[in-house]
Amino acid sequence: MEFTAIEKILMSHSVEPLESVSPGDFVTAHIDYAGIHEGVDARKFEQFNQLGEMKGVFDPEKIGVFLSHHFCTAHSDELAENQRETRKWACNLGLKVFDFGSGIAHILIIEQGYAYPGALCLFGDSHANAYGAVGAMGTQCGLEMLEIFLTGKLWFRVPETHKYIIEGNTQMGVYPRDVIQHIVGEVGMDASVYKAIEWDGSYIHSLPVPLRFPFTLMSTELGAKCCFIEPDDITLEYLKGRVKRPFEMIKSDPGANFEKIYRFDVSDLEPQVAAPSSPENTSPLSEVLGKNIDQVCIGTCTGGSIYDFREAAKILKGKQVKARTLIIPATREVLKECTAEGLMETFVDSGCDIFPAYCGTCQTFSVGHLAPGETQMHPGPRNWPGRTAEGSFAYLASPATCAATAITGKIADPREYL
Amino acid sequence: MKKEWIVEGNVWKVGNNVNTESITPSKWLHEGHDLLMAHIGELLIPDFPNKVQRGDIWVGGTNLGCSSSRNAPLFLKDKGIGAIVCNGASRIFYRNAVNSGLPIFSIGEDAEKLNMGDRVRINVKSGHIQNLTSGEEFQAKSFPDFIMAILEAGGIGQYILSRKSEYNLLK
Repeated sequence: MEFTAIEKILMSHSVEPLESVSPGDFVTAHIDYAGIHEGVDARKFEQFNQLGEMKGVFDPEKIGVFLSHHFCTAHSDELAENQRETRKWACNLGLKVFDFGSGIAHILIIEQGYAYPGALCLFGDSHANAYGAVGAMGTQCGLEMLEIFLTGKLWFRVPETHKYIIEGNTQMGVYPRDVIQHIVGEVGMDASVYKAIEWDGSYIHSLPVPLRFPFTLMSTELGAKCCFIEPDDITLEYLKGRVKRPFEMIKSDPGANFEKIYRFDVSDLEPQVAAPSSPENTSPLSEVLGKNIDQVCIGTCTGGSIYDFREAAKILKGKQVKARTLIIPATREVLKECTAEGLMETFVDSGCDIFPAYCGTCQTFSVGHLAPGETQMHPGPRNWPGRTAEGSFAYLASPATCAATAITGKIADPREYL
Repeated sequence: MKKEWIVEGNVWKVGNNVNTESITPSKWLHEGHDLLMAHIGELLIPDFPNKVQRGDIWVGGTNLGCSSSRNAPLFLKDKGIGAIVCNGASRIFYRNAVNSGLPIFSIGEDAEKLNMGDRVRINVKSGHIQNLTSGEEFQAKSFPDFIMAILEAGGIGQYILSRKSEYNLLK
């Protein structure tokens, strides 16, 4: 029998030895890495407090607590107290805490080598799909994290796999964030509900690993349970010095069963945006040019890599921003790279504000709150109602489109600045 | 083990692709439980937080609870919701419901036949759903035993604590 990569990962991690699996089967599997972030709401925290009766966790090296995912600092007494308790509790269990300024949990997990080809990683957040960028299986885990902390195991239903094949080279001014936006608009955000997605094609495999993140993270916006990109030479080069343990390269068998195959050619694609208020509400940039934008954020999980900031800096160099503009690197590593390359100087000279690494204004938990009637633009994955103030709006676009828009305060075309 | 588990209440209905931020807005997520309870669901149904009654039923379309992993089902349960019925749910929402001890039934297009305000009776163990207002009846797939056990315990935390001796790491 031949298997998809995700089926192979579930088989290789199964507690019971398995020679085969099929979609719909239930598998109890060992977990390689698990994490939670500070977004744990009060009720979930109560549940975790029940673990006060715990002698420890299954393996403290395999669990991380991330405090700089949703918040760049504690901005209220209640949050500060909640975080103090989280630090105390994590310390008692011997868990590593990634504190303020570390950055977005999912990017950190990849950057710091906790996700690697063939690994099974769980996280208490919907964007755990991210780890597919390095050939790992990542999926969300809620209250069941209790079970993982205690046993290092969890049950899974083996998902069907959808394959998305992307070919061609994009034109100047068109980026991976545009490509994934186009795809979400074309197939719809319920195209792959409860499925695994395998991203493939010459376009995907031409991208540096951080520019694969928009595809794996936004698999969530297609409804996917998990996703996978076959690790290649670019992946291996990226993982050098990051992953401190041996791993095997993994790929789907040639005869593996894909429930559906989608094909895209990106050669003629123009920049894309998602208009308020759904990530699916996609239109070509040309259809929304000139709309007023009060605030721009360059950053987030799907637009906060060094590659994104380089493009934004090219556009902003020597210009002044009209919109309030927040620069928020995805991680401290990205912040350091931006500083070393002089990009931060460009941003400051342009009138942008620099913030510590965290999620950004995709949700206004921390900074960059909007007033009713105001509109922002950012490259993050979501612009749903409920993520920012009632009566405020968000457009999603590439970091380059965000930079061009920051200059004019109206939706603008980055190609005019490149 | 409960012999019988019946939920009976009025329907609160939302559409397709309803995201969890619409149910439990980010704005109220870290401001304490009371405020969240005062505002839950109001972006979708303004009357909901003031008029929902214990045992009422939340009905959704396709891809219910997409987007954020915040535990919207747990908060709906706190607010009094006794069961969820939908055309289909996102994976995260489905597992959050089960792990919070809130029965969730994914019944395909039959979910369209439950309308706002209908009186509905659900036999959780058998999966039998009666629309007492229209007289229509539906049969949902019953839960596998291990899921039923989590639901009956009241959620995954209670399920683990009820089997404490099986866990070496619990005192």
